Amino acid sequence: MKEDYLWDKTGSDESVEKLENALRIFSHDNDAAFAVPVIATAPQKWSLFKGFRPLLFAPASVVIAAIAWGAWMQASRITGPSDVGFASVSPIESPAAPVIDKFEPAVEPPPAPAPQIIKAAYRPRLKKRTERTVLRTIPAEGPKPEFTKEEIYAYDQLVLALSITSDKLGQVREKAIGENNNSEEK
Amino acid sequence: MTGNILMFARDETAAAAAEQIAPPEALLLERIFYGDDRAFSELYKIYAPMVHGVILARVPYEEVDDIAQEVFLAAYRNLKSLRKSTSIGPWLGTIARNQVIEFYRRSRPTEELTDNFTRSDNPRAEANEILAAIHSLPVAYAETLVLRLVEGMTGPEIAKRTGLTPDSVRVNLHRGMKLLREKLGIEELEK
Repeated sequence: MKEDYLWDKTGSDESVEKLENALRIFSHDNDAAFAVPVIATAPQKWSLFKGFRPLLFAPASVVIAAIAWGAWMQASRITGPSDVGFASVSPIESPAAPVIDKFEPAVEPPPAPAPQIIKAAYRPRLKKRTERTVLRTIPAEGPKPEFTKEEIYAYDQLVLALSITSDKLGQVREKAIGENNNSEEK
Repeated sequence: MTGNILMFARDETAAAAAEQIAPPEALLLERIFYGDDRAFSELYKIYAPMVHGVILARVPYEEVDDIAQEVFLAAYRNLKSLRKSTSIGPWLGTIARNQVIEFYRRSRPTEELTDNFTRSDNPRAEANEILAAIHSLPVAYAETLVLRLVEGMTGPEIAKRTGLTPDSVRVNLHRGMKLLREKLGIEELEK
C-alpha cells in the first residue's frame, strides 16, 4: 500500500523509496555527539548565594537608608547655626528674647550682633520642619534676664493659681468618672 | 520477615509504576538537572535527527550542523525554563526555528549555487534538486517531508518528536508529497 509506506513504512512505494535513497546523504550523522562546552556548564551550577541573592538587598537597602538619614541630619546641623536669622525674625523663639517680655527687664540685654541679622537676610528660606529643628538645637546665648521681686512674686502666684486650678479640674474629673461608673453598674 | 518481603515487593511495584509513568525523557531531564552531562548527550541522540530535519527544511545543507549545534547549546543553557518533559520536542523545534530566523537575519544575502554547480557533481545533483524542490514547498510540508524522507522517521515518530497531532502529520505528508511529485514531475504509479 502506497499510503502506508509514506506513513509508517509498511508495504512499498517505489517513488518514495527512490526519494529516500537520494536524500539519505543529507541525513543526520547518528554517530555525532554533542560536546558540552565548558563555558556552558557554568550557568548550570547551583549556587546557594544565587538562591538567596534577593534577600541580600534588604539589609543593603537598610544600610543605604541609614547612611542617607545620617547625612541629612548632619546637613541640617551644619546649616543650623548660620540660620540665626530665623530666630531673629521671630522674636518669640529668639534665644536672646526673654520668655515674658511684657515686663521690662531691669537690665537690658545686649543687642544681638548685627552681622548675623544681615547674613540671615540673604539666606534661603528653609522648610518649616528644618526651622523647628534648627531652633531647637540653637544653644541659649547671651546673659540671662534678671527679674524684679514683683515679677517673681507674680510668677509664683500664677503657678499657684494654675496648680489649684489643675487640682480642681482633677476632682471634677474623678467625680464625673465615678458617676459614670455608678450609672453603668446600675 | 514476611513484612520485609511485602515492603520490598511494594517498593518494586512502585518503582515499576514510576518507570511506567515517567517517560525516558523525564528521567533524562532529572539526570540533566542533577548535572549529568552524559544524560544531555543521550537527549541529543534522541532529538538531534528531528532538530536536523527542522533546520534542513529551511536552510542549505552546509549550514545545518552549525545551527543544530547552536540549538542544543541554547537548549542546554536554558533547560531550567523547560518544565514539562513531554514538551521537549516542541521546545527544541521552536529553538531550532528561531535559530534559523537568526541565521537569516545575520547572514548576508547570497546567491544559491544551482544547476551549473550541482550537475557537475552527479551523485549529489539529484539530491540537491530534490532538496531545492522541498525548500520551495510551504514550510509545514517541507519540515514533515524532510523528517520523513531525509531523517527516515515514520509518521507516528514525527508526531511524537514534534508535538504535532498524527492527523496533522499525515495531512502534511500527503499534501507535501503530492506537491513534491508535481514539482519533480514524478507520476504516481498506483492510485
